[in-house]
Amino acid sequence: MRKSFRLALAVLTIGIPAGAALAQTPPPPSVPEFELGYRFVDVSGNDQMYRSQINDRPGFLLHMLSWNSTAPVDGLFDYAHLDADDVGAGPAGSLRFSAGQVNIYRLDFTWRRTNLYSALPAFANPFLDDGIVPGQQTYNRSRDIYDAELQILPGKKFTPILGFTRNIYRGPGTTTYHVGENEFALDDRVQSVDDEYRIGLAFDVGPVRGAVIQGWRRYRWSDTASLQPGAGDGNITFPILGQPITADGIARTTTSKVNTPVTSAWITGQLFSRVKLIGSYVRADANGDAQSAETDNGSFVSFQIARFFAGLDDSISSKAKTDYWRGSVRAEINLLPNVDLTGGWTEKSRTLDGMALVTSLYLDAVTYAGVSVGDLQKLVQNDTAIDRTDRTFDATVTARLFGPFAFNAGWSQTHQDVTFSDQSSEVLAAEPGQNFTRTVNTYGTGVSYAQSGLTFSADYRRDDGDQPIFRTDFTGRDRFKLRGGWKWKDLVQIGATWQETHAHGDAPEIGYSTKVRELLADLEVGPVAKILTFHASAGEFKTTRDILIRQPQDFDIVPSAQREMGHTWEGGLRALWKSLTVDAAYLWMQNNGSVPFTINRVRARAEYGFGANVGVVGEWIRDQYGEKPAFDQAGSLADYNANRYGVYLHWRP
Amino acid sequence: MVRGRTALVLAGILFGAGVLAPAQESPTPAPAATPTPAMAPAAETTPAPAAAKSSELPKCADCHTELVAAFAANPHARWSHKGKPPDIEEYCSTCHGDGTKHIEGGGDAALIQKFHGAEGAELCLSCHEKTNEHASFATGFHSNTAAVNCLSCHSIHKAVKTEPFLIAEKPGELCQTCHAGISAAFRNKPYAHRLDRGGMTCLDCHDPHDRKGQTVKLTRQGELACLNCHTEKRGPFVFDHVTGTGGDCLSCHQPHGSDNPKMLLWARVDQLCLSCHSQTGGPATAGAQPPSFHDLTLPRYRNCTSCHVAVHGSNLSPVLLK
Repeated sequence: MRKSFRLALAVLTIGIPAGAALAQTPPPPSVPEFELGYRFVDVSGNDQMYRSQINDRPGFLLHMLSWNSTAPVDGLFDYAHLDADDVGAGPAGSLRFSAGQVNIYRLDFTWRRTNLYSALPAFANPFLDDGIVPGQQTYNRSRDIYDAELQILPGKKFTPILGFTRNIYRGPGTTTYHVGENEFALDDRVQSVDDEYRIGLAFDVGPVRGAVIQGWRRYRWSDTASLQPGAGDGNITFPILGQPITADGIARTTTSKVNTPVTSAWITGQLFSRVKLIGSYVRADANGDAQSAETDNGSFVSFQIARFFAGLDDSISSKAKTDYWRGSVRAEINLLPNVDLTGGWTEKSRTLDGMALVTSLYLDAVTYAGVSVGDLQKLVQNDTAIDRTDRTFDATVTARLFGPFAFNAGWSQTHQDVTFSDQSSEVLAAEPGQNFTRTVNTYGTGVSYAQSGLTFSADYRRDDGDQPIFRTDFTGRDRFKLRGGWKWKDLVQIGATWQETHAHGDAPEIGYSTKVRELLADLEVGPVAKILTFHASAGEFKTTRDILIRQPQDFDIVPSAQREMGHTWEGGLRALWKSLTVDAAYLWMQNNGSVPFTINRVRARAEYGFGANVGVVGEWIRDQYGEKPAFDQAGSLADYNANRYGVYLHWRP
Repeated sequence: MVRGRTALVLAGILFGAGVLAPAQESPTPAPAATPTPAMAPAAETTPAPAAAKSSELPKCADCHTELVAAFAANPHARWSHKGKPPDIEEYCSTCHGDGTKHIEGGGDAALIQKFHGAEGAELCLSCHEKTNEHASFATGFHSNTAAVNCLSCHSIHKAVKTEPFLIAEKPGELCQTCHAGISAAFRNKPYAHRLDRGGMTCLDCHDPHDRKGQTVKLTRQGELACLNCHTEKRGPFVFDHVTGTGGDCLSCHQPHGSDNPKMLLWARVDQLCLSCHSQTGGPATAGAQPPSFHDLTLPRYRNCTSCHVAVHGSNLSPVLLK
């Protein structure tokens, strides 16, 4: 009923003015620019890996569309704009529409669809060594996001705002479930709908501007999972305590809902001529309920109750509540002409209170000695709580005093305080009731220069943390960034960037250290202006992460390392000759790190114009992906060669 | 149900009435008027195909005919005309100043206000000096300097027609001009968000006008922008993991592109998990040590999420098994 009523309200809201306007004055005909055609896909090798990484699908594709109104339509809009991007075959497409009447209303609408696919060879795959791919956790889902916002009287002193956002995530997948000391492959299907309604008022009165928005989020999730056909033996195929652990059936249904009122407000005010104050506040209190019912049949063992059992009826009822708020007060002060000081305080707080009541009925339980004890019921209530507060002070000075130069320097301090309750999630706290605090001071400075086609900028930031909350929290971090470029007319353009981050922890028992480097240089040469352009780039990326870990099986402390050591080379050209335009590029990429791989990529696109309005576009994209064998990686099982060919009609009004 | 159906019927009647009633009064729609600069569309960026009559254009159009005609579709033309007869001289003079001497000088470029670099952008800021809870046009991290200013990204007369806000190139290409390394990671690495393909752009996660030190957009609830799309990771969960406790999405993921599946920081999932879930001494840290049956020499234990599937948080299992 509520759904029908909302639909009706929507029809009422949109339909009356639309109907009236359509009848009064038909919009003058105008033709959009568009590119429409068909994409062919040819994949050899591991198609699932291709889909997990790229997933360009065959089929009709609206590559692009752009339409502008050519004249106002009285009573409906002064201006309207529609554009679309990759709608059709997938894996991602979007549509955007905006229209309005100056000073009366503005409507913005977007829709975006993404097809999400994952079937990785080495992910959640206990049988990779046997050459079985993909892993047991896969999905083939879609996400649709709709967003609409209506501003009434935009640009006036008071502007009411109405908004609605819907995010739908759904589709099938496969997963695993650890039960009865074995793990089993499941089919599952999820559907979630996240709606947000909002209403607000923006104001712009003299020196004071701001907005107050009240929103309501309504989130619904459902998940049904069942044992995959033929997966009853589970991943552990040897007996446990002398008994094979198998499943005849597993079925679980989970639903959850979360309601969240969200209040947000901000205000800015001009004090005198040189000082601006900004304040903001957000509050979101989420209340969630979840229910789960599960029925398992087979031959299982539980170390918790020290019994074998033939079935499990599990029901879980849980509640989770978070109270979140975030507030800030800032000032922007114009100290001197072209010298500004900005600074402020930001604080955010999040508290979580959760409760889960788990009722487990173990059917036909048998002791390890073989004595039947019938059905056993076990009730467990978990109560969890987390309190977290983050408080930040910051100040920055920017100066543009010396012609082409600009400088900035800043400082910030963030203090974090986290407390886990006695019964928090078992994965979080090493000891119950732990409290952690951490303070990080950040100092940064930067300079930029631009004159006569030459640009240059350099930035440096230093972070000092007093102690870690997580083992990967640094106690010291340095970030460097250099960027330079030179452009001479339309003939030559050179650019280079270098970014490097060094982070480390002080504790030798943790031994944490990270270095990340990214280098890229590119060159563009246009020997014939607007006719022919060559471009090339070369890059290096390097990452080293090191940390000591305690491996669980023997509790030995051993080093753990992640490496990325790669290079990229790219080259191409753009050419325009009479009615023919060509844009082609080739990329070669190699990584010799923890996942050694190479990528050979070709992008080529040619358009031939027939007259002023029509063009035919041919497109060829090739991706060759090859992994070298490495520990726990799929090696050649992951390789693929994917060619996509597209033919499109390009209409230019 | 009755209420919903009634409302639907009512909506249908009213929609029909909206369509039919005026049609009865005016069965033959009048032809659309020829657009003039005064009533030209206030579309976002695209020039109006129907050019304005030259007699109605400002003097500047005598030489800059196409430029001035196209400006009728510019959002800047929209605001100067609504609700009053257009002063078409405003088209150019609002920003370029009085062009009399420029005209008298035979088009001498030195005699007209032009827009280059930071000085040119100062004029933009005389109207667009906007500040809200996050962004600041005047003091943001892309604030007005010789190296980066409004005109580095926006083009009044040569904007991309498919994009809003008069930006000079498509968002990804535009940001790539300075952030080439990050752009290359999106384009080249095997696991990355589909930037500039299907509608996702840098602007989904970043606000180019944000303040220094605050480069990532927040959701309306004040969280990281990741949760604008990945809402199912938001919770709240009874058994929370990283999000919202001490870390965030970036504790495990590289959103700008990664060599590792799922855009993870580490190639092997167990190495990623154990980087926090190891108790090796030193200062107390969050993250419990896995018990000894997790034998990493066996493939099934090298991928922790094989069993701990609810790694983003769970309402059902304290150890995130479901």
